[in-house]
Amino acid sequence: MSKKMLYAIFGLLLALFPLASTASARLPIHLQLAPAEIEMGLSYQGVDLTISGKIPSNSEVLVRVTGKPEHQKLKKKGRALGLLWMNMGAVSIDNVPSVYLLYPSAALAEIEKNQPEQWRRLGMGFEALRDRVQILPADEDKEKIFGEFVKLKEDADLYGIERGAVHYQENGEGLKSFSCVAPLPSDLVPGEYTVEAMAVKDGTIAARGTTGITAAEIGVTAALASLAFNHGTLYGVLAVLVALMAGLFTGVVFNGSKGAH
Amino acid sequence: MWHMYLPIAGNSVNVLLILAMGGFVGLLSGIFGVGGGFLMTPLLIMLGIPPTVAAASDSNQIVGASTSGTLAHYRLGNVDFKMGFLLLIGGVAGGTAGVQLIKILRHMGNADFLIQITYVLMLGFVGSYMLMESLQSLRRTPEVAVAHQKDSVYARMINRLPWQTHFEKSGVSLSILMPLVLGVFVGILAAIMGVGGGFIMVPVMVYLLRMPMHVVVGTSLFQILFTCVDVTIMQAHSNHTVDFLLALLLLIGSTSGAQLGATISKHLKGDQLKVILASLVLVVMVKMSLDLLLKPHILLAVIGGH
Repeated sequence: MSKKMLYAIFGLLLALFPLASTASARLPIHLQLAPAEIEMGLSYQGVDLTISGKIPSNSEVLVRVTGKPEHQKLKKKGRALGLLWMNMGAVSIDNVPSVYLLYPSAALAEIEKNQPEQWRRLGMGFEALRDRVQILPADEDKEKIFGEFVKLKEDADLYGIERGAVHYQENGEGLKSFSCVAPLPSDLVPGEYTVEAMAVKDGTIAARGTTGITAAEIGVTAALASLAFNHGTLYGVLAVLVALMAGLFTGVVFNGSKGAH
Repeated sequence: MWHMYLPIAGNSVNVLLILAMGGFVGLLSGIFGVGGGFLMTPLLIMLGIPPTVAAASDSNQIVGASTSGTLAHYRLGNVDFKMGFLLLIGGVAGGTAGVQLIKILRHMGNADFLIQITYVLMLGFVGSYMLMESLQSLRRTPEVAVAHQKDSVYARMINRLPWQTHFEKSGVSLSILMPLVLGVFVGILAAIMGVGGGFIMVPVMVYLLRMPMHVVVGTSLFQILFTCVDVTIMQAHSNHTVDFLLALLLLIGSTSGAQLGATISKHLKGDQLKVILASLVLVVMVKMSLDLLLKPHILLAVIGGH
C-alpha cells in the first residue's frame, strides 16, 4: 500500500470521527418497563408502571405515556333559560390521545413553569396537544372546550403532568440512569399504550426512546367481557337467572332463620 | 385488597363499599317497595362507574332484590298478584310507547331539558303531596279518614267505570281499566325519565288505586321484578352495559337488605312509611335541583352520561 493511500485512509477516518460521536449521542434510549404487561384480572386496581433507562449526563429526561388517538364525542353543559345548567348540544374532538401522562424531570419542570417559549418548542404538554386536535363544530371556542376536556380527563387520572416523579442516578461513562413511576389508573381501557423517554439538551430533543405496553383483561374478567360483547342475550339471561336465584336463595335462608327462632 | 376490577364498567371498586351500598338500597326497597335506582345510579356514578353501566347493572341487581323482597312480602300476605299483573300489562305497553316518544323528542331537540324538568317536577309533586297527605292522615282520627274517602268525587267517578272487579288482597273494587290505564301512564313516564318508576307507581297505587300501603309495597316489588328482568336482558343484548360482577356484589347486599326491610316495614304504620318515602323523594328532588342550579365543575360530559 502506498504512503499516499495510507494518508487518504487516515484522513477519511479523521473526517468520520465527529459524525460517529454525533451518532452515539443520538442513539435511541433503551427503555425498561416493570411490569412489562398490564394484566387486568379481578384484582387489578391500576398499576404503578416503573419506566427506566439511561440518558447522557448533560441532558434532562422527559417521560411520556400516551394512548391511541381517538374520536371523542362529548355533551356540552350550558345554561337553559339563563338559569338551569344542563346538556346543551354536543361537540367532538378528533385526533386526541385516550391517555396523556407527562413526567418531566425537575429541571424541565422549571422550564415548563418559567420559560413557556422554550417549553412550547419541545411540543409537549396540553397546549401543544390542543394545537394538534380538531374540534367540531369549528365555530366552538377551541381553547375553552379543550380546557374543559383536559379537566374531564384529569379527573379520571388519564391526563396529567406530574412534576418531580423522575429520579436520577449517576452512572459514569457520561451517562446517568433515570427512573420514573407512572401510576396508571384502574379505568384504563384495555389496549396498546406508548411509552417514550426524551433526552432534552439545550432546549431540543437530543435522543429518544420508544416502546409499547399492552393492557389486557385476563382470566374471569376476559371471559365475562367476551361473553357480554359476543353473546349479549345469553349473558343477559344468565345475569337475570343468577339474580333470581340469589333473591330466592336469600328469601329461603331468611325464612329458615326466622323459623329457627 | 378488598378491590375488584369490573370488566364491563372498566374500573376497580371497593368491594365492601359496594356491598354496603347494596345493603342500604335493598333495605329501602324492602321497606318502601321502590327499586332504588334513583339513589343507586347516582351513587355508582360517583364511584367512577359509567352512567349507562350503572343504570343497567342496577336493573340486574334489582331483579335479585325484588325477588327477595317479593318473597318476603308474599309470606306476609302483601302481594296482590291480580293488580300487579294488570299494572304490568299497562306498564309494558306504556314503556314501549314511552321509548318511541323519547325518540321523537330527541329528534326534535332539547329532549334532555324536558326530561330533567319532568323528573324534578314529578319528584317535587309526588314527594310534597305524599308528605302533606300522610302527615295530615297521621293527625286525623280513623273515623274522619273513612268519611273523607267516602265523600270524594274521585271515588264516585271511578265507581261508575265499566268492568268492575274485586281485588281481594287490596280489599278494593275497581274497574280493570284503572290499573291498566295507570300502568300505561307510569310506563310512559318511567321510559321518558329512564327510571324504573317505583317512586311514581307507589303513590299511584296508594292514592289512585286506594290500595293499603303494605300491599302497595309488596305488589310494587312484584311488578318491578318483571320490569327489571326485561330491562336487564334488553340492555345486555343491545348496549352491552350490564356488569354482572357489579350486579352480583350489589345483590349480595341488597337481597339481605330487602328481607330486613320487609321486616322493618311490618313494624311501621302505612302513614309512617309514606312520610319517610316522601322525605326521601324530596331529598333526591332537592339534590337534582341543586345540580341544575349550581355551575358544574366541568362543562363537558362523556356521551351516554347524565
